[in-house]
Amino acid sequence: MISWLYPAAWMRLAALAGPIVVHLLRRQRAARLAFPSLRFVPASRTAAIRLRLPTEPLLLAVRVAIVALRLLAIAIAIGGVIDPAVSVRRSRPVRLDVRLLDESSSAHAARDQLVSHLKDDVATLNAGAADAIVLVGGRPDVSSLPAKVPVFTISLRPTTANVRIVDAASPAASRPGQDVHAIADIEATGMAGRGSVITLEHQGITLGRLEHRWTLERERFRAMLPFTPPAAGTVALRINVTTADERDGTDNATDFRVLSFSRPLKVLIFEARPSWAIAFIRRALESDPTFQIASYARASRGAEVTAGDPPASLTSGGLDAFDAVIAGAPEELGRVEVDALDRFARIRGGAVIFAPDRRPAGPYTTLIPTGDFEQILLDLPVGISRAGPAGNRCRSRHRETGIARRRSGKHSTDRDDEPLRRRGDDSTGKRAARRVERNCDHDSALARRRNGGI
Amino acid sequence: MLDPVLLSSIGDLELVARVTVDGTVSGLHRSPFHGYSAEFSQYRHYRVGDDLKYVDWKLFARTVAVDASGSMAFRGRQGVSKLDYARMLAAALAYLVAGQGDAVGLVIYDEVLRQYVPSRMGQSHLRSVLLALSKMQASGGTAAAAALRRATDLLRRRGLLLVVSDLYDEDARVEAELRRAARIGHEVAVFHVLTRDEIEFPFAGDIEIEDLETGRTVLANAAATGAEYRRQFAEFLERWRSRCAGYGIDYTRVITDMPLDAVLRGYLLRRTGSVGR
Repeated sequence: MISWLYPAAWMRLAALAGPIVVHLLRRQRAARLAFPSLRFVPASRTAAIRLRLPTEPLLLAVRVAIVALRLLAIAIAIGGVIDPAVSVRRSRPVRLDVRLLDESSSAHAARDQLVSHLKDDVATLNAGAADAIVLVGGRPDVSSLPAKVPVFTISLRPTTANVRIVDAASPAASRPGQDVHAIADIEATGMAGRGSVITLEHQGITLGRLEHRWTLERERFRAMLPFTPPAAGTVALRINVTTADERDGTDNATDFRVLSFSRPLKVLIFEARPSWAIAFIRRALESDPTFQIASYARASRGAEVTAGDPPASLTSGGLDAFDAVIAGAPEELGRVEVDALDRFARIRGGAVIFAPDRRPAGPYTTLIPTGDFEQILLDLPVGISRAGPAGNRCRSRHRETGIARRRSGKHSTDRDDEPLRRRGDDSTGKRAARRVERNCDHDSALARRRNGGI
Repeated sequence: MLDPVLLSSIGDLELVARVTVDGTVSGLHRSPFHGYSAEFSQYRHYRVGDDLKYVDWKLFARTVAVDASGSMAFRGRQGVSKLDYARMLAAALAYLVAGQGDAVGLVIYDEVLRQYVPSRMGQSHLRSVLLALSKMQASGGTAAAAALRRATDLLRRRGLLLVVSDLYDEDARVEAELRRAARIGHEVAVFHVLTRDEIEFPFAGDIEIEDLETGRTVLANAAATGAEYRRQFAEFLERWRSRCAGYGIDYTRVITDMPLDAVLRGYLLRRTGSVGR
């Protein structure tokens, strides 16, 4: 904003004509000529010569244009002379009288914060004839406040330690014996350095417990407590947060229910192209009464093979009826299908199992934490037996899904003592088979991670 | 042809004069002076029995008057200055006069009579004249009338007065003195030395003109004033030519880019014609 009380502004305005003055002063001086006599030189009109037109008229025009543009900009700035849409606030700044009602550090901090926020809009602080009064902290004496002056107050409540449950989500419906997680978002204020105990209770019996130590003055923590429904039906649960010396405990508990049912798990087996791995899995699951299988396979372009009641395509709405999806040949899945699977896993809470038989590629790799895979082609059929300690990673992941655990347990029992089947004594196939044994106990053994199992 | 620029670069003024005169005189088809030989050699003293018609009555009175005012320093955009040209021309004339056994004198003037070398004969005197010419510098204004009167008076007998000047003095007074010298019986020859730029005024644009004699300056636009200048200057030249013709004064307009020997030859040829008449 241009301040016309500022002397430099006038100097700048005078300097606007500088280019033109320089141009006029830079006129070339007339050439000097020593001549024998002036007898025959007619008397010249000196004034006419001194006021001759300046040289370089184009340059002069450019300089005049610069000055004109500057003047135009000033005209716009000081009142929207040219463009009525341009408006400039020319009212005087608001004067605030900020009063500290106590000398606590928090009151000073609040005053400083207010000043820093308003420094561009408020010219004078602590002025006598203020347009408004701001009272910071303490209890104001109303009788001392002037009439007809707006008064604003900033109250500084003492910080008290408090823990409260902000949000809690009921777990999705599960089967008896299937782990679910009770999730609660807990927010703590003024609890830095102290700890809280979060418990999951059912009818007063503690089912799960965890402790959390707060590190920030204001912190939010998501607690996940596992729970395994013992039988079908509805189970009422409570998440309770206990903190020592907390005054307000009304917001430290929340109740929710877990629905457990005993119906068969609905599994969709989706093959973007036919694969042997999926064929074996499907056959195994179809023979298990725990699962209700619906399968869909794209045999070729325009030809589909379906069984059960699969959806016409992998869409978000079509998958909601299933508990799990096993996707074969996942590298053939498109982005829309991958997004539907992602939503199914994250929002619906379903399980998604990829059974690749080729090097992972395509959109679905974005759902896999690593892309470092090595493809191994087996030139001989091999039998897969459970590995020893090297398969811990895979087994631990299987525990997260009932599908895998059941399948793994059932079939591994059948295969524990099954010798390695091989045809001939080909050493390459033997080595490959051993690598697979060491790394993973998956049925689908054609691809493995470099640093672990599939 | 002797290039004036080339001649002016020769430090020995006597050599310049000799080169100029020797080439000029030997190239003449007819001697400007009376005698029996086809080519003029020198004067000799009168002896009893000589025909009086061959007596050169102006034998012993030849004075060269050179204008050394500030205006003579003008050089123009190229070539030699008027003063240098006048110096060489006066030296050649002195050499010519001395070579034919005549006495030669020198008058150098500007506002006043700056230097006077009386007329005498002999090579040593010629060197004195040439030395005075070589030391001549242009300065001051012009007061030709007084100097010419003085030079005329110093010619105690009838003689030849050679005036080398740009004639930027008051016309009437100079004209009166020249007329007086002619009326007294002296033969007067005027070498009007000018530069090409003075005549043509070939300048352009705005110029600040400084008078070499007075130092006064005038701002002028060459395009606007050139035509008027040329017109007035042409009138000035014509005025002098007609005046000199009216008073029997030999008038030679000399431009500094003209070969010096050609100027001298032209003068001698004209003089031959006048003597022959």
